[in-house]
Amino acid sequence: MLDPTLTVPATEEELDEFRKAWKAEVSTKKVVSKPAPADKPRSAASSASHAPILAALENLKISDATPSTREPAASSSSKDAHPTVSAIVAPAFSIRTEPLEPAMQAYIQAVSDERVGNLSAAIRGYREATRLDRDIDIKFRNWHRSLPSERKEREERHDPNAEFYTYYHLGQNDEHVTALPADQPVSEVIERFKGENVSFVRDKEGKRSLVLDLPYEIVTQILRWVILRDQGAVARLSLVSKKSAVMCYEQSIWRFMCERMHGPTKGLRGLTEELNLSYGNDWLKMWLDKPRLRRDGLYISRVNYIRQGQAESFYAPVHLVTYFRFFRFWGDGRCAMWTTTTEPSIAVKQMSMETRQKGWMGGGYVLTGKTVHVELKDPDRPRHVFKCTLTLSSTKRGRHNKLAWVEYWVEKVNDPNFKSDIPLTSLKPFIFSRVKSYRVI
Amino acid sequence: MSDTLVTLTSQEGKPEQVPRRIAERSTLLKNMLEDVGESNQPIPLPNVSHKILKRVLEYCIHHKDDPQPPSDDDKDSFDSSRKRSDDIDEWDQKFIKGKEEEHNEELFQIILAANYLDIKPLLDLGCKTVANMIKGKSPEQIREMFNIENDFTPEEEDQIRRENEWAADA
Repeated sequence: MLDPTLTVPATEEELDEFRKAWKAEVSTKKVVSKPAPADKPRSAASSASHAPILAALENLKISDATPSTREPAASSSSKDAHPTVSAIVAPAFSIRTEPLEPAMQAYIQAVSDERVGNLSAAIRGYREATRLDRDIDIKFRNWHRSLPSERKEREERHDPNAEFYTYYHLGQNDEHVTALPADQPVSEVIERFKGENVSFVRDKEGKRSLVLDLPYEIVTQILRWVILRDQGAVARLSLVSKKSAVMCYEQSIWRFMCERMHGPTKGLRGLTEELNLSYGNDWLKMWLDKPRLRRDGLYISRVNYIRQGQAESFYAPVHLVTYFRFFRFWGDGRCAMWTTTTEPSIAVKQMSMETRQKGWMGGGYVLTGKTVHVELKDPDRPRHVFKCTLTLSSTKRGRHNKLAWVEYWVEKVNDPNFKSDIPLTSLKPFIFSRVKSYRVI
Repeated sequence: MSDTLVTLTSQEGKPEQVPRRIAERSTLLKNMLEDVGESNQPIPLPNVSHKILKRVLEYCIHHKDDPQPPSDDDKDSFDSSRKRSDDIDEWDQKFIKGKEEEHNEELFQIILAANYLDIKPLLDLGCKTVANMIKGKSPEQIREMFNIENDFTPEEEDQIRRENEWAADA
């Protein structure tokens, strides 16, 4: 403990002294309470100067892996074990009293706050971090880069939404793109494998291989189910072997996807005609390029605005308010929009046709070309109908992942002449964020 | 009439008696029984072991009251009866899981039997279960799971990786 005389400071110098001593004590404690380096092979070789970094590295993983720090269930499960064990282990080497550790903690917390859209907390955190260490941003960047296992760790999580990562409209970054990545996805490698007539090769002789010993149509069906659940699986599946790569790019799979996605509105015949006219008879191209409202996630529009608070004597507080609009679309033509301050990581789990929360509206949509027409009703306002038109587009980051407002208005159920426009100036476009537990189709 | 018993003979030659209604969950058996008409002749199933036959019948008994799946010749088309079938119900999930230690082999045999006997919902259940096993696995893990060799050269692997950029669509 500190010297008791210090705890009743009288002068400025004494106060300063006290602050320094207190900070030093706090930072030492924090660092000590991290895992002892011995239980991580990587850290055994590191020198004393790396100690705070390693300690904070542990920390970084903890708070970074769960963007949704607000959920007690998700954050408490896996991470308690380490710090408690190490608390009883004496520090293996003495630690400098630089307040690096709390600064990093504050910074990391701020990053995760920013990620979930809690800007005021994020600003507080960044400010605190910078106050403690002027170069914290550079240090943070260097650590973040040096995290090799971060991704892997995320992949091992079981909560399907733990990986949920939101994207917002960030100005230039989201501008429309002229060329999407890999406009011609099926290339000569795949063609070559096809020509070679590749097939699966058994790795260990005498051992059953589920895919090798099943009829081909069944393996194709299995593949369809995988892609239906997660289009991104193609990236991993096609790296399994030559045969799997060929299968992933087979037309029949993408035909199946297109038909499930567009068939109900377009009809099979219309779809085949369009395939011929606009997509060079390539089902994969159609799947990629034909506008579709994505169902494997939410379209999120984040709005920040500043509200002038009541001026009280010397201070004039300013409030930064953040709220969201979430749009979710289903294959049967239904959709829902929820205007709320609930943060995305929590809203993801509640967003359904049955959400009965303030600001939630449910209804239907029609997609014509790139234009989405939506009609919504708020259960709390049964006499009004909300209608809007939006434009669907692609961004650098992915396809069909941006919805921009075109028009938004209210009508009254029993007054056909009533129409009141809602000004679009304060509305922001919707940017798509994938949700693992939602289906592609 | 649907209460008449049908005798099925497994690979091992062991007879198994089931009500006709149950046997008819299999499109193959249904067609056979319709062709043959009333007959007490046992039906040989040389491709199905007794153990798997028992498992398949267990499934058929549980689902005896389900509506018959539409006979879809154009199986690529979407139809409303399959729109909810992305989800596996609880009983099915437990059923397909079977005994832990022989899960893979049994799953494999059940898929084959369902394919042979033409029991569409059971085949779908098997395929979906395998699909779920693949979900979220790395290429290396998938290879191991299915006992497949990696036959890429490093260059080819790289090329494929570049090809795949579109799939990482976020």
